[in-house]
Amino acid sequence: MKLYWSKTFSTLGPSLIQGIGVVIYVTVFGFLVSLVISLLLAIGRTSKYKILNRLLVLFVELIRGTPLLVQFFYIYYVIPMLCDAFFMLFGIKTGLQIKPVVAGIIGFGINYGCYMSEVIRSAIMAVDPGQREAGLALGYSERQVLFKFIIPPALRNSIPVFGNYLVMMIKDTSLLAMISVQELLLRTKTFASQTFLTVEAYTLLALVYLVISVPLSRVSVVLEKKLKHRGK
Amino acid sequence: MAMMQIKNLSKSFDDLQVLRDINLEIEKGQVVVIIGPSGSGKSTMLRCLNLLETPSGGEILYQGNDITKLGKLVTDYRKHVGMVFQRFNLFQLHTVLENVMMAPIQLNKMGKTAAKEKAMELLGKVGMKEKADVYPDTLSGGQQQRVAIARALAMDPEMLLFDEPTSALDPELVGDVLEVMKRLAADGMTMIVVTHEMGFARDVADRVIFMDEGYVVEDEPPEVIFTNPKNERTKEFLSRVLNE
Ligand SMILES: Nc1ncnc2c1ncn2[C@@H]1O[C@H](COP(=O)(O)OP(=O)(O)OP(=O)(O)O)[C@@H](O)[C@H]1O
Ligand SMILES: [Mg+2]
Repeated sequence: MKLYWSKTFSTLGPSLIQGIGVVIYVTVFGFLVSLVISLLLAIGRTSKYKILNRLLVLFVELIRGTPLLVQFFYIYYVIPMLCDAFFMLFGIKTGLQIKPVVAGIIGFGINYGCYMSEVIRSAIMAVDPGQREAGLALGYSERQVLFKFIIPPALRNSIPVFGNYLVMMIKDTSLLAMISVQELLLRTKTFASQTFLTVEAYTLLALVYLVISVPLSRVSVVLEKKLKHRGK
Repeated sequence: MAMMQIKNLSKSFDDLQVLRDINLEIEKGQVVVIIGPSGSGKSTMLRCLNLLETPSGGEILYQGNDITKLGKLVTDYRKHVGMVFQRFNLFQLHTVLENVMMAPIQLNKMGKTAAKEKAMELLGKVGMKEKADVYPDTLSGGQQQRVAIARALAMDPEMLLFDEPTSALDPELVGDVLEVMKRLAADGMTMIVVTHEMGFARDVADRVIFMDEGYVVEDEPPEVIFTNPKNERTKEFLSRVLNE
């Protein structure tokens, strides 16, 4: 078998570099949205209102119980149709469409937000109750105690796990090929089907993923060691 | 009028009754030491006094006001009554100085410069000035406890509650903490101290209260309770701890 590496590099290479841009874009925004959502969910779960608590648990279960890919499809295809149908009730034509990249960011935000909210939640519960009592005894309110003395150490202790989720998200961007985001997998697939350089193309693709995720994993390990330094 | 009046205080956890019909009055400037066997309800009573536990029954009057009826205003009350914990509970992500000056800035609206000056003065008082900029986990237990005392003092409390402040310390570190507490007592601070340090009780307390099974069994000056306890259970407890 003859392999055409230089052709693969010169043609697929530049395209993949553009694809990396898309991957970084989706991951950065997807991760930021998921951080916000996870924090809101985790804080919501500390609420003393049982109904709110139940609803949030239900939502998290719903998201964790369905595949990420299905959620992308749902957001990309189904939500616009539902919106359309809803507005049609009032005689308004929306013709709403969601850009694939935006659907990706929303999907990641919600899906990873749910998983990460569980991380924050267990970190919150692992904070020494003495911290809360010390805050209360000084005259802080429960809410102040939560935001000043419980969430900060909980978030700090969650950072290493967040690092793992970030790397996972980068790899999961390949799912977005299914909703036509021009990320790495879709570009490779197109190239391979046009040139039949299947071995070269997918090998290069795998290497690109490795080159992005391995250093990131290292960074999160180093971070974890640094953070161990203070507090528990 | 007494600074604090405790009337018919009771506390249950589900069907376990931990405090039974407690009646006490605490005068301004008094040092009250509470002793008693493990599980007798000492911590629970102390924690009821700043509402870290909600009493099941009875009243706690502070300067004549029933604090069990304060609702959300309990945070204001707690600013007047500081607490020192067995396990110090310093804020781990903050330096020693921040631990001491944070609450006055955030809760008493004190200016930053003034709060810092005051915090340094208090740290000087407990012999921890040199450690102002380090984080709590680099300190020994005794040092952490002295910082915790400074932190409580920074709010200018009128009364301090101590729950076994030296029980988590290595024996050689107990002295420094007791020394700080003795000085506070000499300065006229009103203190309620749960402790097993009988030497401290004898030397510093105005009154020693013996608790057992949720009751206040005996409430006497140290001279009386250590030499001539009236109750059998007090006698037995004291002979046990004093002969250790
Ligand atoms: N939050 C709680 N829930 C249920 N039971 C509790 C709780 N806190 C304390 N208790 C129980 O109340 C009783 C009294 O506890 P408390 O901590 O007040 O005793 P103590 O006199 O301080 O003992 P020690 O000397 O061991 O500190 C114990 O039987 C304890 O198990
Ligand atoms: Mg106790």
